[in-house]
Amino acid sequence: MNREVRDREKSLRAIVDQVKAIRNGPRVLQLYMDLCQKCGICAEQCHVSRAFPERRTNPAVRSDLIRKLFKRHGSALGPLLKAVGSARDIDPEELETWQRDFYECSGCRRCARFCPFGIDNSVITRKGRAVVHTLGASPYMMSETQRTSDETGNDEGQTYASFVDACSFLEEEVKDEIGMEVSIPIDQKGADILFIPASADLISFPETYMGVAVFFRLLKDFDGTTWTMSSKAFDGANFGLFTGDDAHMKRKNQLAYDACIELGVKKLVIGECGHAYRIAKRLGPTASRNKNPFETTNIFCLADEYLAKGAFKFDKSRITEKVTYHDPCNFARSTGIYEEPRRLLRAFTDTLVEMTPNRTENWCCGGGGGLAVMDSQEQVTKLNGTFHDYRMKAGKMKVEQIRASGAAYCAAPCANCKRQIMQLMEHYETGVKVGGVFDLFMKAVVWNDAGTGTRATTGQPQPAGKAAAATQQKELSDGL
Amino acid sequence: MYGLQLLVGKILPFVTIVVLVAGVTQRIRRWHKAAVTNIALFPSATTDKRDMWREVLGEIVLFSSFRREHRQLWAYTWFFHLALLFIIVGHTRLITDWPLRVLFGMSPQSVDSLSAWGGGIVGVVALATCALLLFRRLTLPRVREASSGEDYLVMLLLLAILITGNMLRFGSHFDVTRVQAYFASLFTFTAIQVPSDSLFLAHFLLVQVLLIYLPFGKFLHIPGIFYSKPLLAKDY
Repeated sequence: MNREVRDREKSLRAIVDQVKAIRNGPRVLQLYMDLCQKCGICAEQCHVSRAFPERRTNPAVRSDLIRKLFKRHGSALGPLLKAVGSARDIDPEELETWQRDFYECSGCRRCARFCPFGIDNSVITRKGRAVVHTLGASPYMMSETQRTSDETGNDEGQTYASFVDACSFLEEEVKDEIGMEVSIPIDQKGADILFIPASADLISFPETYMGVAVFFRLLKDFDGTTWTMSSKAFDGANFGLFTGDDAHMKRKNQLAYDACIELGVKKLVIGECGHAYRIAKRLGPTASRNKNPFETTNIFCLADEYLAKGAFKFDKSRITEKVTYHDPCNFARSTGIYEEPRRLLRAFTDTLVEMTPNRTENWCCGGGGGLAVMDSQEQVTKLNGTFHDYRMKAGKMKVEQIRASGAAYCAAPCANCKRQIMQLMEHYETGVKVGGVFDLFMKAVVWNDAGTGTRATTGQPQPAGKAAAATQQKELSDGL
Repeated sequence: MYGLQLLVGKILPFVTIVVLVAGVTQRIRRWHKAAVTNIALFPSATTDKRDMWREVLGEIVLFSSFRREHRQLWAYTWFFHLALLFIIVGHTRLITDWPLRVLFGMSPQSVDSLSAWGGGIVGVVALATCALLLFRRLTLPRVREASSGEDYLVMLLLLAILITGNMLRFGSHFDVTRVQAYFASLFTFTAIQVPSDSLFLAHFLLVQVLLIYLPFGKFLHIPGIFYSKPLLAKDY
């Protein structure tokens, strides 16, 4: 027997073993093996299934890849179930098929939102990806990003020096843009808040990041709340959720936990990154149920809380273009954050328009589940074309939604959604600008270094020397 | 005929009960023991157990969000399940009249007329909705592509049960008291003659096939939904 054949047989055996092990796995998976009635609702509610009306993109059929194998091997009645078509034998190209099919699902959970039996196909997708990952067959960009992250603590492979550089560069940028002195504190022990964005924001979406720096500066002005970044944990993004690699997911989130403890912060605040927040709040060591000595929250909840306290003033006339809000799956469906960002946007501008449907029924951008970062074929042999081709097609629904809203700016607070929607807007030549919510915060906020504008109630005295810049307020006539 | 009577009426019922009870218990135990992970899905996820069950029971009893979002399929399925529920309750009468009489304070005559009218209506509703569901499965391409042999076979089995059941209901040759006497003797292990009506035997056999199939197939979604819906609705 030659080596290739041996390897193939070994991997097929590994697949069967891992599928069999579902018998002792979590309740979700066990239930999902038993409950599907093939009612077809998920196919109707899935953007992929609608964009590619083929059998294999039907969520129930994709989940059947695992389900039918489980019934064949996880039950004494396997052969009988096979005879009536609800079980099947393993296919020689099983691994290649899984590699493609489970990465054609963005894990956005819209099907779960509508399934009459409460089946969340993203759980099955993640299981499939986990098996693929253990066999070393994750798409190239997925495994590469995880490797980089394990090596450097962030997905982009930034070093301490480049992180510090990027922060001070952005401090300068804020000064240039709006004339405000902001500082991005790093490793400041005893700060109230540890802020963790997706580190992609530092490089790819600096305006979101700058907006956050302005926000924290005003928070300090308002009631003295202090913040810090951590040089060890400045990336909340976590591909362990996407590859199904639980160990990686825990490892990466542990960095955030350790940083919170080391710096002694009261709050861990996650930035505009949906899956980072989902992991931090519900899945990893920093999750709220762990009764940690700090609270885990996100930038929207924090900003919304201060908005209600009257901490900020905005000039609504600065944003004249129509703005729409895209609900990232992990903020809306998975963590229930959909009113807070809207309240913020409505404070910035009167031009917020909604896409239909929205909130927890929003259509996925087509880049969920880590797909947004994949451009080439990524060594997925069965994929016809590239992931970029695939994503541009899968996102058609989103494009139509944004077009119908008439918006000129789409706020999408998730690094994956941002990248995907930006590419979509370019591909379909819509001319719509894509960015974050805090990009607009920076544009709309009215501030005053003398402290009269933004700290009417409990603000503390400002350090002297900033008065010069006090009355100077750069007009943001360049719009969006 | 005697062999069939013996098999369907005196042997199979005990196999059926053992398989049904053991199979369903084993499956539910497996779900029950399994580790629970946080997969909360909003807007309904809540940390309050009472809120969670209020939400989940609405989903289970009324199919509430399903009714809002997929009105037509909701109508087929909800009335189908409701009719099945009434059919199961109605069938208790084949063992004894007393639960209906005690619960609703009914006279034997009114039990008779309720079973004639009510039983007749739910039998027809169940048959019609079941046929609609099968028709839907055959005609909608996205449903059909996901369907396997099992999905069709169980629908055909249900249809056969409902048709034979309706024939017994609307035919003139059905004697309730004889069936009551048979079941009483069956459960007290005092051998008595099994009703020899071939329609009855066919109906009874098909029902037992269904009950034996139950623990291994897709119809376990009824107990399963009590586990799966709370998973999405519960947040830590």
